[in-house]
Amino acid sequence: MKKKLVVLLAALAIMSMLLSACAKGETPDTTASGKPFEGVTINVMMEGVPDTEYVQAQLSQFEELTGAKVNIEVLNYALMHEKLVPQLTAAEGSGSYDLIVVDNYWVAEFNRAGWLLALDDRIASSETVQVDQYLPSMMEMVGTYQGKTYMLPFYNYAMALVYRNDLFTDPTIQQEYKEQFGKDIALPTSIPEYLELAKFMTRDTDGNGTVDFYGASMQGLRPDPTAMEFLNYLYSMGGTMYDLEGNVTLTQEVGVAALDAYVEAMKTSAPPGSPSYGFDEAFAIVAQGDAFSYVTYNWMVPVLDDPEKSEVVGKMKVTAVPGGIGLLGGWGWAIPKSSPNPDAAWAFIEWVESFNVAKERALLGGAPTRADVFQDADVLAKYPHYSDVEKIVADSIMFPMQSRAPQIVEVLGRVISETIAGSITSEEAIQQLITEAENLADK
Amino acid sequence: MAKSSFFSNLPKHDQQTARNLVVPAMLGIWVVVLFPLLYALYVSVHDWILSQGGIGSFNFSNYFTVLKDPLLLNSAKNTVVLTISVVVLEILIGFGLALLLNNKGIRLRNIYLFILLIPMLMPPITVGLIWRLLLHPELGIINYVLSVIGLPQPLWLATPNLAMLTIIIVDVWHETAFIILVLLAGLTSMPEEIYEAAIIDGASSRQKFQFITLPLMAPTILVATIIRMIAALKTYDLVYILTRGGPGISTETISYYIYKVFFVALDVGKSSAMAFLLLLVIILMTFLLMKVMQKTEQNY
Amino acid sequence: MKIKKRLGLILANTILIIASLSVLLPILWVIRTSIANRLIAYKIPPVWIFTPTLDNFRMIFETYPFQDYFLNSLIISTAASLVALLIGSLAAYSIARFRTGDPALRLSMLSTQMLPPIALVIPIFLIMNVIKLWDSMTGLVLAYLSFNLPYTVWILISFFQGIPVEMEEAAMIDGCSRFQSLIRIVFPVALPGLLSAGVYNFILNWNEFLFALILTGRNTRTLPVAISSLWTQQGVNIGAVSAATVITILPVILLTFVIQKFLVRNLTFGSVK
Repeated sequence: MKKKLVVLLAALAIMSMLLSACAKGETPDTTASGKPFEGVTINVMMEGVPDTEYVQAQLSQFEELTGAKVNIEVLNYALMHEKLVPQLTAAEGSGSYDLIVVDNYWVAEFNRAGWLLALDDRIASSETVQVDQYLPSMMEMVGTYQGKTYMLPFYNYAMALVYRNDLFTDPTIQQEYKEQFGKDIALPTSIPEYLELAKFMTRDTDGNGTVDFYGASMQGLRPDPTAMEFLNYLYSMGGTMYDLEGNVTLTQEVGVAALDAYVEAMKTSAPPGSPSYGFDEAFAIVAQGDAFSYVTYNWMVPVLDDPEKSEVVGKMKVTAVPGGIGLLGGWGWAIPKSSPNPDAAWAFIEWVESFNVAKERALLGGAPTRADVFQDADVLAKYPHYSDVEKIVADSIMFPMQSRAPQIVEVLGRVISETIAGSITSEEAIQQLITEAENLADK
Repeated sequence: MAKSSFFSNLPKHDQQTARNLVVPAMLGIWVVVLFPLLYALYVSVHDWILSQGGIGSFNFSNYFTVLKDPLLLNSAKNTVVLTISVVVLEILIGFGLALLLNNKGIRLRNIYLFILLIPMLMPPITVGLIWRLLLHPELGIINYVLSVIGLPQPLWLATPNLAMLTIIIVDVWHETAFIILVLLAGLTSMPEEIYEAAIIDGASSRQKFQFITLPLMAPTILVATIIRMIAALKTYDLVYILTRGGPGISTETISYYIYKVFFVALDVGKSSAMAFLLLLVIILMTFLLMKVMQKTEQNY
Repeated sequence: MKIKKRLGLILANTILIIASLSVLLPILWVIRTSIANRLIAYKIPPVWIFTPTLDNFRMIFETYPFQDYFLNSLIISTAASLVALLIGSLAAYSIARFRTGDPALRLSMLSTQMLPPIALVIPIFLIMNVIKLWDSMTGLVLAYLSFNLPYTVWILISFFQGIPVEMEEAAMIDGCSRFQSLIRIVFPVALPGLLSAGVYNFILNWNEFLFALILTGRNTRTLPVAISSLWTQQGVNIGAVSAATVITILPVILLTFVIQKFLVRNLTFGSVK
């Protein structure tokens, strides 16, 4: 009997130890050392992408310089919004993140809710931040909102067409193309031309009767993979969702044409499983050498050149989305109003966005947002295709600046997926999309 | 005997002790369940979209809009299909396997059981990610094996009618372990004397199963059913990882829909209203099952 | 008769082998993926023989501190499960022995499990933020009580009902108070039940995702949240996910293996009297 009691007491003791170990108690060490933020901890929430890894690699410089400690919490994209929203609703100064990165679709949402700190005064008195160095398309997207500056652009993810240059320049394939179409093979300049090329490339390479190589790798998963991919078709065919005043500009005619083209590409030139593919599966198809082309982020080429991840090393090239206008994406640095240390956070932004640090990141493989980094001789020497990327970033169109953008993406993803599944027609899909876009527009 | 009279017949100091003993648990439940619940109830009768400013006016419009929402109706249908399928399949398979495992003649019993319980120990998020890899039509091992043995290779997650079945299969793979565990626990705690008596009376195995095992196991099966049903009605993680509700809207479940209204549309009011409607449905179904359970208990 | 019995055994074994294989093969594939690079992980037809790499494991321990997440998960899951056992067992005893609040109390315990967790997450977050328990282990432990407590009570009631009142009465005649007899007689006898409930809760906590996502920060991140962050916009790092899965399920597998017998005997959720 005594033994049992001992066990119970032991359990209680362990428990009380565990609970007392729960307190996190981090008191800032405020010993003076001349460094401006000695003892301050800056908590940052970021997404797990290459650019975040580059920032992590650079961190020690900033810590050395200012004495601050920077904690970067890395999260996956889909969960960031879920995690940020409760944080941002916390009272002023009482949140847990000093600094955050904001995806372009959240810009209007966060600002309309009044969750971000305006940076204009800080920018005006800063010696290092030069707002006019950013590409205007980036600054409009992840910099300003309704005339005030809330963010500084961190990296771009403009979409582009990545394709197999080895096949494109293969004489046998060129010959075959010429025989079939009576003209030389060329990079497509419009969506219909792209469909034609993608269909031509889709084939049975081992002669067993089933298609095993696809003209286009596609991602039909709801909501953002398919919505983002489709917008390239829409923009390239001359359509838009909203104008700058927030009126719905999507028309039935262009919308249906773009959606039909998108569905046709998926049915005729993409792997049969595409309607359920997210980014990873579509990427894997390309990396395994099973597809000719993929509409994706411009900075995927270095990833496809990594022999650990890809079988198509050195074979891929990047060009603008057929039709010339793709979807622009990007992230910006922002300080939430709930930030406990806005000054330290701003010092971090000033440092991380200074020319030298931004250039260093670009040299590591980062996706620039500043014209001077894009045009820097060292950067261009390492990545000659960045001059094309700069043009792609400048010409692309961002997702509409709407405070309910995440919900618009959700609706867009749903109607596209339903059209692919055949449960509604493309006319019905665009009709629903226009109605919902009007309901969700900022009034 | 009325239950309250039992309590009031206790000696005074025992009544006191009885009350004191439940206080910590009640306090815990109040803090972590009751308060949040009341708060959610309050929110559900107000207009409140987080991104559009503070809490709005008091009204019941959330409940009305929700009930008229065709997408909610669709997800309710999907949820019913999913719940009934997984609960029935898991109980049948789980009970079957538990009966086999309860057979004393099986020598490797503990090894089988150990293996069969593993899925229960895996976080749903990894189950989803791993099955996505296994089921990839071009690059997954399952379709490769099917092609080698000459069977058709379905597009598991890309075909509207098949996607729900795929989710059901993955759920059965993941959750049957729990049923096996609970039912086997029930089987092992059954009194052996009854069986011995039945054998002396010359009962066949089928008779033993029909007249002893099944009736004695009925309460355990019902408890297992209730626990699984409640969990299945709340399924969202597998859907979130495997299909995001697609293709089209063929796999959207209520919980996943609520999740999106909450975190994507930031419509806190509407999502709380939907959560309460779901709560009502779950309470109603549990109540019905409990009634059935009590009836079965009385019958034997 | 004997032949029939033997055939029955063969059939039973066959079914069990098929069932075990259908569980085991996907898990073996996970283990294989955890020691392959991304290229081999997606290779079809599969490469059967390749040089295994520990890069995925190295990555999750070096790039991400999975050892910290592991410890967080361990402390939080254990603490929540123990606290629930402590206060839950008292309540369960009271309900079993004195029928306190029966049946309303017993039913209300069950009904707390019915609300979709999504509806509870925001209010719980707000509370934790106000009482400064966000990103603290204590906060998550409290949140986990919302489901640990009801399950504990539910599982334990039947155990206490199974203990004859006479045993306690005898102890009380010997001079023990009600409370002493509870600790010295009732709890030891109900130990298998306590253990089963504790392990069941531990497994639930170990795998819990939504509360952990919203209530943890950098200091307290648990394994499931850490695994989900391997799923990036550039795709799932399936090798690392597999390695993390192996690391995550290993301790629970060992735990289950050790106390499998206990679980099997006792986890009836009060349905067997």
